Amino acid sequence: MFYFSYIMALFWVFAELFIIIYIKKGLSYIFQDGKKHYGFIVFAAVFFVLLIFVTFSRNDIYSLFPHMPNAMQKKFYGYLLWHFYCSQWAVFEASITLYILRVYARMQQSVCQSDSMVEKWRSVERFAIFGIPAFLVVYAFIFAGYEFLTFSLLQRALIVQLQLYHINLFYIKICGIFWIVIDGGAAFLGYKIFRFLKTHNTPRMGSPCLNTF
Amino acid sequence: MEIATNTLLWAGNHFSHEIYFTTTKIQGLSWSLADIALVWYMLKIADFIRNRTGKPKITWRYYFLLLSAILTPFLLVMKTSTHFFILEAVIFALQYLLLLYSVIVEKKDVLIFIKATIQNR
Repeated sequence: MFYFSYIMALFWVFAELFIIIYIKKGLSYIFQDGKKHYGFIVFAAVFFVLLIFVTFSRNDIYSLFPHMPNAMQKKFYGYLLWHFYCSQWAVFEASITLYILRVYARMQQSVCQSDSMVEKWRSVERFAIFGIPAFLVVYAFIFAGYEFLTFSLLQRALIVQLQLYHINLFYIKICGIFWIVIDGGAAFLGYKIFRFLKTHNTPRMGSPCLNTF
Repeated sequence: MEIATNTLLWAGNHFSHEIYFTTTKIQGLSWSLADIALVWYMLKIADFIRNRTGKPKITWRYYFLLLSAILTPFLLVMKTSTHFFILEAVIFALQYLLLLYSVIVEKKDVLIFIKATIQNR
């Protein structure tokens, strides 16, 4: 079950990173900013390889927590690793959702009749742009803070193994709430973009405006 | 800091596996439904653009999405966490494979279309 869980977890990470790369390159094409995103592609590849390494070399990493009984070390590291997966799913999914929001905001700007409406959708676009690093930082604090506190409770022997297990489940529950909100938000944006395309007179292939690309 | 520590201690004492598993079933149903809606609208957008560009309609991808939708209610009747995770993995694998495949296959037309939509106003 361990291998099945982590292979699936890695598959989801791979899928999300792959989609983010495609979206980033797609946005560069739409906004014509000329970025190739090689830096992010290298980062994603290195991150993924490191993730495989830390996932499947557990026995070597237990020694990072030398002050705990061996069973607790294994449990804590196992939970920490799964929490990291849960956190990165939330961050990657939020990034994808905010990229979609950015496209939708730009689409709305293109049909706005007044300057105030254009400004409103520009603000939404700015929120989407800065929202990604902001969410990453906030979530990193949540993750690090949670693990630090749990580690500190363990070191002071204030919790036993069953309580550690319950604390582990509580973190997964927090992430689960984020996943629902983020995925729901992405689905809602999908609906809004579909409605936008249907409502507005979008170009047909073969029309002069599309032939220019 | 003390509030956070107390929250963790509360979770350690009260957030049992039973509470977790019951709420996770409801959550699993919710996020699977959200993903079904997400993939559904993504396919609808792709279909809309295919229609505009004179390409055939998407068919079999909707059947895979339907399969994931049929499997979703069974999350509620799973007896153990392991069975729940396996079913959840199957459902999400279907949805993510659909997302991945669609992103690869539809990318070009969708990008050209959205770019034209934004620029021709």
